[in-house]
Amino acid sequence: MSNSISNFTIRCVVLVLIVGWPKMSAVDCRDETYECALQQVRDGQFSTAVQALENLVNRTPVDLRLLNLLGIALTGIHESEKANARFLEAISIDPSFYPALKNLAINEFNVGQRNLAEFHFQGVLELQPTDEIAHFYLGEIAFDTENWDLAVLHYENSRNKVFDNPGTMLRYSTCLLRLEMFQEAVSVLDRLTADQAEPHFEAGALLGKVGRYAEAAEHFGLSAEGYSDRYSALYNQVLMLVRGSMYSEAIEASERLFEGGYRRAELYNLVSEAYLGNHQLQQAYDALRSATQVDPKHEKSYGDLISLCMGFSNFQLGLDIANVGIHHLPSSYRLHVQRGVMQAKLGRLNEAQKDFQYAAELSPQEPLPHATLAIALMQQGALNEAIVSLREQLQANPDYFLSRYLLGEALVRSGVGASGAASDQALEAFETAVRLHPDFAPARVSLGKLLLKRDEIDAAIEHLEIAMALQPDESAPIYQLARAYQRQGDAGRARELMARVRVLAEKRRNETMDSVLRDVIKESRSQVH
Amino acid sequence: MSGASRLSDRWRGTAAVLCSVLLLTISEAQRASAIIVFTDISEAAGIRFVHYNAASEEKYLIETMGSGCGWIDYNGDALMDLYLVNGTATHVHQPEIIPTSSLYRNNGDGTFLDVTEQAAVGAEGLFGMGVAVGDYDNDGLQDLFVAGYDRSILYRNNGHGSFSDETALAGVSNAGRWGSSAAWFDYDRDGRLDLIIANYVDWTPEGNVRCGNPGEEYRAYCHPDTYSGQSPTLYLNQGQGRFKDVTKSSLLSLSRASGLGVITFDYDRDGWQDIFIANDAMANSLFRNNGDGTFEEVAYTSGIALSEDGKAEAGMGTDAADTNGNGWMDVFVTHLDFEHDRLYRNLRQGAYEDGTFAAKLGYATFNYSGFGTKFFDYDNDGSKDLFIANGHILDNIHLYHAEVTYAEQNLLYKNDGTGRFSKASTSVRGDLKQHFVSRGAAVADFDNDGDIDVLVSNNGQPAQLLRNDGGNRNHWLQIQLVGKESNRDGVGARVKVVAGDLTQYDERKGGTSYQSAQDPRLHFGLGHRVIVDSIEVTWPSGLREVFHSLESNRTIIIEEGMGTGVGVP
Repeated sequence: MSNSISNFTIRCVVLVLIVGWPKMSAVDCRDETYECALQQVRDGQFSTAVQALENLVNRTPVDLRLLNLLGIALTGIHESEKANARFLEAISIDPSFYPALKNLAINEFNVGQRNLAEFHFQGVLELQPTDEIAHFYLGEIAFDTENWDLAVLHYENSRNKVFDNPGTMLRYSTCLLRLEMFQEAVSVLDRLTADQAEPHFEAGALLGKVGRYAEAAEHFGLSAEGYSDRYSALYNQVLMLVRGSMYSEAIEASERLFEGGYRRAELYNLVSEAYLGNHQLQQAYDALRSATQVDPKHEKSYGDLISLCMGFSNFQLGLDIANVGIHHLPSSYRLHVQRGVMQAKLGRLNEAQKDFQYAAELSPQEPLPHATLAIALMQQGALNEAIVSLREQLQANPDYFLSRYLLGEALVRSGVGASGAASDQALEAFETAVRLHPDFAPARVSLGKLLLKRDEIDAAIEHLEIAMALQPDESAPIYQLARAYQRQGDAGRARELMARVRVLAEKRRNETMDSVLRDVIKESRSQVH
Repeated sequence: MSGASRLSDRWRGTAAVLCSVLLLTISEAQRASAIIVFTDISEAAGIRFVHYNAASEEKYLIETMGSGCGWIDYNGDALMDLYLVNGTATHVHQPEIIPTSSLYRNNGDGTFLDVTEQAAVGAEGLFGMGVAVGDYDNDGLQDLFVAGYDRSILYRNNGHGSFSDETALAGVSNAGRWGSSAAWFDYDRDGRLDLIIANYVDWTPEGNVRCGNPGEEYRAYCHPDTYSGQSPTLYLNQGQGRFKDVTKSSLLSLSRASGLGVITFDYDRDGWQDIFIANDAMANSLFRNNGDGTFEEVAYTSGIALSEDGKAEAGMGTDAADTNGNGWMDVFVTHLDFEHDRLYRNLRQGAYEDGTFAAKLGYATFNYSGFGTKFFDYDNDGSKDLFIANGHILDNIHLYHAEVTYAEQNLLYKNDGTGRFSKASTSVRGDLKQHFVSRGAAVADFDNDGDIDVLVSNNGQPAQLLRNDGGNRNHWLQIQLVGKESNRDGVGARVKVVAGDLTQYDERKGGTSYQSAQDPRLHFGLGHRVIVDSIEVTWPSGLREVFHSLESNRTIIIEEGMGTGVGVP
């Protein structure tokens, strides 16, 4: 960015000079005249111009035009301090001579004196409120300070200056995206020309970050032909299409990569994700197998896919993937944990417990396997064992919020009442979990529930309100909150919250119905074929 | 021991009872350490019934939801006879012999005789689900209501061992609805038993859809959310054998849900019978009786609708009991596996809280799919224990969850007297752990030996009669209520029994469990206590009367108005 701004600055200084002075057709530059010096500056003969202009200034030291042109010529030979002195001389003679003030500000901007530059550009705008260059630079300054609103205001007032440079267009778009003016940003980036491959790539990245996946994919696609790393451009295009659930388009786009001879594990993983999204399970699985053949030791690939299977509730495929991963990476505790989760989701609690146990042995210092093992023990009804295991683990990792939360849960589920030592321990465990991870809603819900049991209703409400804000679509915090308000005597609020719980329950019912109907339609289609 | 002793005029004024005492020869120490055995005697007892579920590749939902079982002393000999509900042929499954539901007469010697044909209670052609037993015409004879898919049947007991189908005359066919469980109760306290039916969903053979993962072997019974729920049906007994459908005027029609289990009881102790329904995958329903012929659905506000996580679970069977001795009825609901069966503690003032974990029942049931359930004191120690009949809903569940099976073992939990439960595995032996696809569960002291036996109906399988051997080592008292101004069965009566340091409460509830009917006699274990200091009965009519100094190990009959009245509230 700094290079492009610097080049642009020089051009602007010259522009400031030229505006209002039409180019002369023929000048005899054997004489030391203003016109001759002006032509030399235009021709880039800054040193010659400086010499002539200094002589002229010595003769007429209060000529504003000469001082300004001398400043510009000095800027051209990188004598910024001397140039600024000349601009200041002009301003001191006539404070309303804004061309010198503007040139001064540009030079200050260019040498990193942003505060001075900002001050002087604002001075320019006081004299000439519609000055596009001043607005442009003030836009750049506001961008650097992440003042998105102000930047957009100045960029807009700079009129088309912002579109002279793709870098500025990207910055302008960034501001718009930060202000969630998505459509405006997309429109700005649409003005990038086809040959601007690098900016297209950056545009894709910008839009992808804010979830405008379709537009991001388009820019990555446009960048592919001229971008220095063609694979990255096309890979990102596929990635954006997958993130945007445009699975068929992603599969189609990936063909360009495969045709280009690219055979990389991450690409196969990505395509597998697209196939899964498209409910083409066999193809997803085949792609995964290709990925593992290309790079069988890439642990994260397996984890990503297992997470994806979890999202699609395809636990069997998740289990198959974990098995492949463990075959290649038998010492991966993460893969054992992930396989255990899949086993648990398939109802194979004994097998799940074995995986968690083994993961804990593989990486005794890691708290996650111990936490999952505790969950498995709890589900098997072995609450005391879970409590012992969690307490041991907390000695090694006292700040692991999940273990704290699970300890509280295990204590509560073993039957602790509203009071007593065990109840106090559960309370402390939940409070610590909340302190360690304030955004972990389940801990707040459990804390709220326990506080309710202990008749600490106000405190319970406080935690449950936060939990509800964190998980607005989860019924647990809303239901408990309704109960709390009911006990507090706020029947209206309790009724309102109960109504929300009912709506959520109905929504889940409808989801089941929709799912069945989808299956029925798919079944009937397969029968027709 | 045999039968019951009828309380007579000798009770009046003196408030004393002359009952014989079954002298027990074992010591208290022996009693405490004794092993109790539940023996499946169904085959030896001559119970040949095998449930027909019409299982087909079409996976009709009705195939896996039934059926129930019940106890009925149909011939008035003080011996509990049993009734087993059956399925029937469907469009896609036609057996060679059309199955029927079955009535077995208790011969009093440990054997039973199939008297279905003579009694004419086979419910031919009905895909039966539940059974409810009650004397709806107050003639002293127990009548039968069989709830089923698309219609139901009311059998009126004629006496002399036969019944007649009075469905049409009574107007209780529940036509077009899938009746699951039913309960007799007197919601308007006019002395006549009314009828509530928990209806399930609007499934039809024509509307049957394919559910489950791709692949024919993965085809599965559909989740109930696939279909719309049905409102319960309430029939008001108008006398003269006629009923009126008051579902709409009672406001019950406002609630449409997938009802399976039902209890009628007085949860808020205001003297009016309320209704609780366990709904499958929907919030439970608690209908508070307003006392003016209408009900208000209060499950959400009372805290009994959902789990503590605010989730609707797969409610199946249900029962209510005072599990911690505070005099208020807690409610238990069974659910499918990977959900917790829930115990809702009654906090009084119409409020419940999910007390599952506090009762130590959380993970005890997590891996089982519970259906029928019943609180009863299997060892007569003075606290209500808990029986759960289990069996999965999917016959191919092993394809989905390798460690889960269609047939499961049943569970028995012992109450420590404070409402905390533990598995009764150390002191109980026998056939409880056999794996069946259990649905209904009904308890009764069928051999009148003072301990409670268990009848379990199994989907597509033989029924089990689990005889309790050894539960009577502790002392006990059994009470048969006979209403006069109140309904003759005394349904809705509240009973308080005090024996030394032990105080127990129970109610003559309607319904309970899953599609099943219970021994109408109230059973109280007494532990080592030989004498019952007092029995206080509050009748549905409002009459409250007490009886003092009763000896244990007896079944007594208490007729309304024969005791010492202590005031009408």
